[in-house]
Amino acid sequence: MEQFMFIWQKLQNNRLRMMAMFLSVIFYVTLMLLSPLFFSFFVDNVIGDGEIVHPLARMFSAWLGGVEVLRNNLWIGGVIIVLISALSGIAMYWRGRLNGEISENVTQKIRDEVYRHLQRLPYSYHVNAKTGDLIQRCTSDVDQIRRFLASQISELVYAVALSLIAGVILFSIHAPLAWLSIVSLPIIFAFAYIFFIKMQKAFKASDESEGEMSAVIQENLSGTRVVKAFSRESYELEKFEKKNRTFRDLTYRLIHLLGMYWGLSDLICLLQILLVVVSGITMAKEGSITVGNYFVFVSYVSMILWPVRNVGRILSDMGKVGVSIDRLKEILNHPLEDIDVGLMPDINGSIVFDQVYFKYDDGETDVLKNVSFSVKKGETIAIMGPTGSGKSSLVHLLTRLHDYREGSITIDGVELRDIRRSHLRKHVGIVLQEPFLFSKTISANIALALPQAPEEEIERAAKIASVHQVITEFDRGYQTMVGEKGVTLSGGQKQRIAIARTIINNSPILIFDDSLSAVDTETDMHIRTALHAIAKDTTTIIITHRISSAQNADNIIVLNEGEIEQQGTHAQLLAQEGLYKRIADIQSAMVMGGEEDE
Amino acid sequence: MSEQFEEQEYNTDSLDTKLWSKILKLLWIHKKDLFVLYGFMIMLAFVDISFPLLNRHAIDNFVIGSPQDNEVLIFTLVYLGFVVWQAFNVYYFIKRAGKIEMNFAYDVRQRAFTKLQELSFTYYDKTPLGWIMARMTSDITRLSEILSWGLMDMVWGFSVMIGITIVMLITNWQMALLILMVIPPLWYISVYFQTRILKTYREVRKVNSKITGAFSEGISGAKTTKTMAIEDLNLEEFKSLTGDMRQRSIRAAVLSALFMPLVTGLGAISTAGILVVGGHQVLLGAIQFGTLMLFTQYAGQFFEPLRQIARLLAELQMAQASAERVLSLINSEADIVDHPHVIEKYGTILHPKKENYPTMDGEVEFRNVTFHYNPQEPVLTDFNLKVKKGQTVALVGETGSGKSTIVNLLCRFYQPVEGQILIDGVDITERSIGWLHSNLGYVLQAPHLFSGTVAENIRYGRLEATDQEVEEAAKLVNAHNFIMKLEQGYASDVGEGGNRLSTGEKQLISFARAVLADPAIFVLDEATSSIDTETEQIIQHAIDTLLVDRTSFVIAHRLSTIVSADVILVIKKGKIVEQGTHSELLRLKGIYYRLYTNQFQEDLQNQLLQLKPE
Repeated sequence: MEQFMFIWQKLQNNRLRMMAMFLSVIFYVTLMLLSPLFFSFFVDNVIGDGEIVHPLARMFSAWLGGVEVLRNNLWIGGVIIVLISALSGIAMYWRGRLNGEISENVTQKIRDEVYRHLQRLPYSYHVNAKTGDLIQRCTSDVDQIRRFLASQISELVYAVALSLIAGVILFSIHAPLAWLSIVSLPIIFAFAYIFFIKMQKAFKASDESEGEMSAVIQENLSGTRVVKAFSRESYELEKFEKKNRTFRDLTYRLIHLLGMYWGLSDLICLLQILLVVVSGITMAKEGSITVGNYFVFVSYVSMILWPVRNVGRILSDMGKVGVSIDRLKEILNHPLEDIDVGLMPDINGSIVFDQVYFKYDDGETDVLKNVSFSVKKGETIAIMGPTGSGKSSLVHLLTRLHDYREGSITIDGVELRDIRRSHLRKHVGIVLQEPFLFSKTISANIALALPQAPEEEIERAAKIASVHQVITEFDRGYQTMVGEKGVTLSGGQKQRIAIARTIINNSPILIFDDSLSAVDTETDMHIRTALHAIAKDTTTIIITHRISSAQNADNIIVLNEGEIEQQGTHAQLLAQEGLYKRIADIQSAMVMGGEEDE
Repeated sequence: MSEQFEEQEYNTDSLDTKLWSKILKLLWIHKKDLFVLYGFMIMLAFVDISFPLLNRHAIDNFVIGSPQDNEVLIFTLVYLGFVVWQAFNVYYFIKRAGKIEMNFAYDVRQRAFTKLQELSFTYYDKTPLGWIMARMTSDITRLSEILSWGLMDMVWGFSVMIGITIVMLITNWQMALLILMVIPPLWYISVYFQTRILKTYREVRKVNSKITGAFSEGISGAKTTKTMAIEDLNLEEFKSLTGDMRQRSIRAAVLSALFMPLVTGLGAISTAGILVVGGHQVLLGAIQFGTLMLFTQYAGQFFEPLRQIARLLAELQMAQASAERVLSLINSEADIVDHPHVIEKYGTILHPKKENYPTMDGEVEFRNVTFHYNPQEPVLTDFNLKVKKGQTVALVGETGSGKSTIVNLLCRFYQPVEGQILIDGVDITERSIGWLHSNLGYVLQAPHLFSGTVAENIRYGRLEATDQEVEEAAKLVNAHNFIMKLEQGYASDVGEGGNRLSTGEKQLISFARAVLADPAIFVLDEATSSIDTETEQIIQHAIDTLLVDRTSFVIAHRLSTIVSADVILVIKKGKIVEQGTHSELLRLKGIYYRLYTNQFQEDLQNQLLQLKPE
């Protein structure tokens, strides 16, 4: 029922189309059934000289001016046949077209909604998300619903309308023969339904074995070096042969079973026709039906049987639609992050942390404890500390990817919690540790948040990020595609492009979350100097492992196990005993012969 | 990317007979099954044609005439016979066609996979993995479907059409002409629409894969999207994709919706003609009712096969690209192969003669080796290097400087353009690739594991190793402890590509694998990515274990590995710029010195940062 509500809701704006589709199916069915009726009338009453029994048929012939007119102008019959076919053709066209429109409109709506939702799920959701499973839901589950709307519904309506109307006509002609004509319908329906329910396992087995086979190919290809280096070619071939064979055998078994199904169900259908033929002959001999009636019965039975068989299959498949809807709703019911709620103050760049505590939703202990410090507009601060000391969590708080538990963080005096997330993120640029680049051109990746940015702007940002040179060395320069369809970038190149795409926004606050780790020290320094020159008013927060990157900061914070262990300038920290000094000592010891490297 | 991998979708409008004859040769192996199948299809068509004839007989002789009882009985029995026979035909042809389809796909995949094992590294270098995957899966599937079910439909279709035509012409040529007249326009319409419909659907599939890609990026890039606050921009872009998809899909639906009414409409015209002409003849007494019925039934039956054939032709046209790509894979030639006399002695990779393999000591010499990927950019020129048994060579340089080239040459993933590489004083081309590789241990920077258990992955190093040996290897590299902590120990599943394990764990297993192989020469590409301190130390220890008493080539990133190496090669822009031991190179005060002071102090710093102050 819930699933039905889901579909019903998504059908908004398409409900009238749905009605029209139902009507065109019914119209089509009626016309289709009319054709044999007219034919029978033609045979019995126009060419033959039987008496017109049915009142409707009598009205019909009277309207045309009597049977005699028709008999002398046989072409009128021809025209009527063509006319019926033309009308049913129009209905058929509309059925197909409406099916396409309804299913595609709804599918588009679902796709957009899921995509929108996925993007607005909170950060923590994406940290734990299983990408493969999500993509599966977004594609095959959506497609299952599309198929349901595109064909299954209309086929159901078609089969039901066809058997009902045909049933009524047959019973009005000759009830006993009508009973005989439909005797196998429940059997054929049940047979199809049960068969396909039972077959689901076999289908799944075949699908899975295909998946396993592809996985072996995939792993073999991505591990070519290992395969070759260990000389395991024949071992791999054996492994593949097994999977290839299993897939072949399971699928063959499936096809074999399907063959039995089609064979057996055809047998039932054909026997049903035989039953009608033989009883029809007997009744015609007795004179209780006419030649035309006989023709109508035989035609109708052949028309109904196969669609009814189809209904069994469709119904067995419809269970899957429900499952798909549930799987999609699981995503859609997950609460969203409110990115458009809250204040939109001017952001200049002074930040104050006051006794901030933070822990993850699923965590037990605090990741940050009693963190207090302040940064003035235009200052640079550096954060150092061992892995897991809470450096990244600290800067994540500043963009409200997570919210703090206790204490207060203010930007220009406004409590962070009250600031609208989208507003905040547009003004606080953060370069993540492992940046993700989209499979667009390099230029588009840099102008990610400013699609209208002029070329000079893009190049300027790339130059500051020390990546312009690299980009121009590619064959297509800034128009080079990133990712599978283009160039594979090194970690350092990715980081620098990520830096370029962040600084192009001219945010008043810039955060580098260890985002120069894959860049060598020299380039690191170039980038920082260039940035400093153009953005004197920008507040900068740098997470780093390098003393050289930290030493020019206005304030250096050393974090350890979530707490601030040391805080001060390079000179101040050097004057204290502590982690910072020990790092610095080692560094100067490293520079052999006492030479400075910078 | 080279041009050959630009997907060619509809390269030609006509059928390439040469190509298909090559494909048919592949199919020819299954000729016995094919002939049986086609025999059944002809019988199926025969029964299909017979039912209307039976109906005519019933109408003319029983419904209108006054038959004997036993005549009806005989008729019923004959009809029943046909029914049972037809049901059996249906069952049997599906079974046969399925068998052919699956066997063909199996064979071609087997061939292609074998080829893939034989192809050399250069092939993998220039061929995108996705391209090969598509050949191995969807292209082969499509091809085998067409060659089994498609061709079968065609045989059935022609049989039905020919059969009906003959029966009609014999029965009543005037009415037969009325039906046959419709064939040319119908054929034209069918071919036109089927081609167009298939093309539109192919476009739809293309957009669909773009949408899948967009979903995938939307999910993997969600964190970036969030921090950049570009949700709305992304959604707009996505909407334009789904909008495109909707439009194209509806266009495809409309095309299909137009096609069927046109076909039935044409059918109705000939039915109408039959009604008029046939009705007249019945009135004149020239034919009986049954014949009239027969023709109306045939009019309905005639067009389905025609439609099927048109569809098949369109599909063949579309599948041509698949056929071409599959053939190009199967016909690819490996460019690094052993000399015939080497093969004779040591066998091929897939059929080695291991009993003839000499043992390897591990002395390596590069003698006047010159190498380049393309002539404009020489990578190695007249390179000489002698490595004694048991020595460690460290290769140092920036990413992309060409460190791996030397290793690749040693592994014979590539061959020198000039010069020789000798192992134990013998040119490696005089011994087989299989021999070289079975004496080689190789640990990659990004460790590659295969689906399966931990034990299976370690055993990859030596297939006949006992459980105990596997465990010992793991202990040697300190992997045993973490393995025992896994739910099922050595029997734990590592997941696809080993993704249930952390990078460090995968690395340890790949070390164990190499230890188990006990190679004479060991190649190690050290990881750059930082892992937690504890694992880092364990890995360092594992490396030390591995390098003892083994000739080793290490693409080095760790200070300790480099310092303790016997020879350090400093490589810049594909050339060896400095060569010597650690202290020799430091004294040079050259590139190595700068690298050392710049890059490696960071190692120390990091280590220090990880130390918790007391």
